[in-house]
Amino acid sequence: MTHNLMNFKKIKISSVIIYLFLIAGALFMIMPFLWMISSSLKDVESIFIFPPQWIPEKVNLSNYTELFTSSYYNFGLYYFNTMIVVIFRVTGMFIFCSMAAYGFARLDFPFKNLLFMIVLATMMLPIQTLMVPLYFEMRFFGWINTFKALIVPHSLGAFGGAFSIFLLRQYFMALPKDLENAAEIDGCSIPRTFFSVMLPQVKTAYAALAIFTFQGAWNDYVWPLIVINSPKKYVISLGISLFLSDKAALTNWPLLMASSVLGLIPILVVFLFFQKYFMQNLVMSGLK
Amino acid sequence: MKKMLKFTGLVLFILVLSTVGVFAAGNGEKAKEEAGGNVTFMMWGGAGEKATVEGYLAPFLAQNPDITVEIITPPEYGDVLQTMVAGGTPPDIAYFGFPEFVQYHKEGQLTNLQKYADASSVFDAADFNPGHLASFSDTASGDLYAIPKDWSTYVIYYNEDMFDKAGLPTPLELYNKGEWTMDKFLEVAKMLTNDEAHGLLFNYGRWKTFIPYFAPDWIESTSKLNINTPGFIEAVNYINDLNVKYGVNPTPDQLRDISPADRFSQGKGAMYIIGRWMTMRYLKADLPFGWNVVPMPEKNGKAHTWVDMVGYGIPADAKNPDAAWRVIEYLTGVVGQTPVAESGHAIPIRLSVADSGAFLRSVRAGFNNEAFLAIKDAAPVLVFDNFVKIFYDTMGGKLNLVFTGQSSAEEACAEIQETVDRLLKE
Amino acid sequence: MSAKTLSILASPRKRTEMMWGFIFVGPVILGILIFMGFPTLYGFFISTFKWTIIGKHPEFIGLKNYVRMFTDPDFLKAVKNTFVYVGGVLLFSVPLSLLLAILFNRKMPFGEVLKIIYYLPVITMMVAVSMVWRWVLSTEYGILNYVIGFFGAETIPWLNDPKWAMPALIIMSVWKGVGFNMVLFIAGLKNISPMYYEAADIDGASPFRQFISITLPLLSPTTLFIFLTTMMNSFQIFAQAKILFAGATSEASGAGPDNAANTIVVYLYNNAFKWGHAGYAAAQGVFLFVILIIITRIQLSLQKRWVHYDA
Repeated sequence: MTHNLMNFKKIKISSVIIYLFLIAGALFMIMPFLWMISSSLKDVESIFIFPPQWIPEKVNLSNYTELFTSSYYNFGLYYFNTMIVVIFRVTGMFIFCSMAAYGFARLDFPFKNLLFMIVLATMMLPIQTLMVPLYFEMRFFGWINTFKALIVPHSLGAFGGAFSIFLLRQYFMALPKDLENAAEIDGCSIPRTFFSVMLPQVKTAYAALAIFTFQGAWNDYVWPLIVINSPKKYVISLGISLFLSDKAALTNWPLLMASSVLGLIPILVVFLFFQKYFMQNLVMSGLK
Repeated sequence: MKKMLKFTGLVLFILVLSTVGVFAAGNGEKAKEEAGGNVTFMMWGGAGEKATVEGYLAPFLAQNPDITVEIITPPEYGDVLQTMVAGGTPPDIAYFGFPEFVQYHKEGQLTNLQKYADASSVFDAADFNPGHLASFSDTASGDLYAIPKDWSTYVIYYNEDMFDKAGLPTPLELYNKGEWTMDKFLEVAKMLTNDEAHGLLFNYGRWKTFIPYFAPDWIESTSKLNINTPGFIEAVNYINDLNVKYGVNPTPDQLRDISPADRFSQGKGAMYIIGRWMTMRYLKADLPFGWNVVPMPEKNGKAHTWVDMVGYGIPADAKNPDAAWRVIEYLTGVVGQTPVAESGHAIPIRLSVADSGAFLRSVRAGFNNEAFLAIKDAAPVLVFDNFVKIFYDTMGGKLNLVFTGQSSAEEACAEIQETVDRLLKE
Repeated sequence: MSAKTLSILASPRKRTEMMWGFIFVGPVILGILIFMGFPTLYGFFISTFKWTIIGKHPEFIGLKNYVRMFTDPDFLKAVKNTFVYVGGVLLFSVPLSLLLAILFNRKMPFGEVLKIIYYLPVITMMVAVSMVWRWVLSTEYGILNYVIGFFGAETIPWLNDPKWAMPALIIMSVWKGVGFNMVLFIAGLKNISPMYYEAADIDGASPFRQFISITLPLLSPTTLFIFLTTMMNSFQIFAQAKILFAGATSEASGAGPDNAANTIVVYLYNNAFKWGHAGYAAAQGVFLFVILIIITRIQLSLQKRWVHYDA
């Protein structure tokens, strides 16, 4: 009895220590965000106060209004453009990547393994090494300064699509073969089987994919920097990095921080919507 | 049910975002893109620069309704310009700093502007400083490949209130008495250094400003640099001592945390060495103290400075070079330069405007605009081979080691010399 | 033709399957070949030229760019730094995320909220957080120095001292990525059947013993995946270095003091876009590609020997 009680106590104490450890870590993780939000509400002068002032003396929302209303920054437009790109890219990726994933998981055709290796190999290519030839290609297609350049390559699995294909393939592979056999007996063709039998089965995987794709599209920086020149077509990451174009000093840090907060909010909302399914689905995929 | 609610919420959220955007996008979409008279104009300098140039262009655009100008201020200016030029889709007009100009011209990526200049009634070569035009001309044919946009010498901005409070004569008063020497400069810097402020704010990245005082001939030719020399080493030690020995300048670390420009505007420095472009910024920031400018100090009767120059160029593959020229012609003409002079934004590139008094009267009464023109023989340096890599990366990087106390001037200069000799051959 | 291929051709059913197989993977394969395959080959091609990116007349120089690469001290240093960086990130990120996953693998108040906080950096834009981190790491005004100051540590010039530049970069990258790996580990842990632990409890194995002989082996597919993706991503480090070390005192961005944080992609980017050595940069791209392929090969063969699958 005493022994049991001791044990119980020990577990309790260790749990508390673990909990405190996790909270301390979380504080470290969230610190830069708190700093970002706090700075975005300050004016230029009070940002240089040390020790850091976590709660601004006088809350100042003018940085946010400036980002939407000034003639130079137009975050409303950047939101709109980014949404267009994200919606098309996520849709495109769902269609093409799940088709490919199914093909690799369940269909038999020559060179399958080789082709799958090629897909995986694309995860290793840093886009910076491809930038110049890619720009030439975009010019050849007449896609410079168009959303096509931001949507088509990614929808077709280039630049990070491999990860989605890999993940979805795991899902398809985990499904029982009986499903297809039954469909085949019913006389379903392969595409029909795919769209009406198999696809609904992996519905849940889309939460994880939606988050990954949304995240990739929302945060994409190097590629839009190169293919989009006109401010009318700027996406959110370019809007934020506009502060890098002001070579000279006198950086408006509060404004910059406010723009970073604006860049964070939508993705955070989407993440919070999907995160529960997201965790479950990663568990299901097993990542083998 | 709960799921449905969540989903509907998400859809609504996206809709709201999109609607916000549609309203904002409304204005932008109207601009006609295919119109023959649209000129894409790429520049750096962020929001401030864009607004200023739009102001200059407004009267021109009102008179020339057939031309529209689309201003682009990309993040990472240099990288984006290179990609656009390489891909054959450059802007119609772009800013070219003097070193980059040489690279673009060498590769044949710039339009020869001589025929435009010859045919123009607005352009007048005699009204430019011949040195400025020469910087943007082909060395063999003498043809112009860019038109100087503006230029600046480096001067010393100073905080009048700090000098007054300390009971010291201002640098301008010393200058007018002919006492503005390097020794005096250092002396006042020391006297104005205290716990709250530094006597001097000097960005170590602009080491170039002090080199000519000790090693005026460090650039011998496009393929020979003299860096491992007593003069150059002395210059590096001088800059380093401003912090290490005299403590008048902040450390590089401190300057990274708060830039010298910010420090000056916050009253944390008495003197700040920088070019003309800060004048407008400080004017707009409405500094809460009196400030003025004075030329760089003299050493053995001679003052030195550094000249930064920028030109307007039309890339060779520009779609609309004719309209682009009309814009450049206007901006560099007497009419276009007058508001530049009046606002005090930059030193006018047109001599007649610079001398007209508009520039000298600009900013406010008593502002010493002459300081920028005081050193008569100031000219841009010779652009040597592999300039960008050598100047910014090799030299800037190694010298920074000295300034952060991780290397000695002797060591650094020897290492730079070795690397530079190799890079000049590439 | 192999026997397998022949057998596919033999049956009409198999032939239909083959056709649909190609149709299904076709768009993606086409996309990858056009947008990644061709540029890669093109990269090989331009790596044999002396070419400034804006130059109209590239000069063929054979393998000289490759020779230059192995005699260029800056490049060799960038390679070394890249390995140090990748090693550093792996060393901290993988064990730390595993530890977090194990600690989170229980019920606790606000556990979900805490998990989301750890994941927050993952979903944030690299450009934005890098700019925030310039502040965090600032010597005089940075919150990191402020925090370590509480524990009596001396102020560290994170971004200005060659000794500290790389640790600063690693700290930021671990912060950015640890949440992602943690989530993957949590998923992996959930997939281990409780059966094993129950059996071990009956055998009286200590928690540590259970960790070594059950958790680690059964988690090895996840660990391998995490190892691989973290490594691939780390080799491509770019945006955070470029912004953290963007020139305060020097125009050469992303290399850090005395090139102490210079890495391969940053160096090749500067060569291509800042210094006009595009052909040379392409050769470095090829080099990086070869390294990554070699590493993948090694890992795949390790996988066969080392990874246990829960049958």
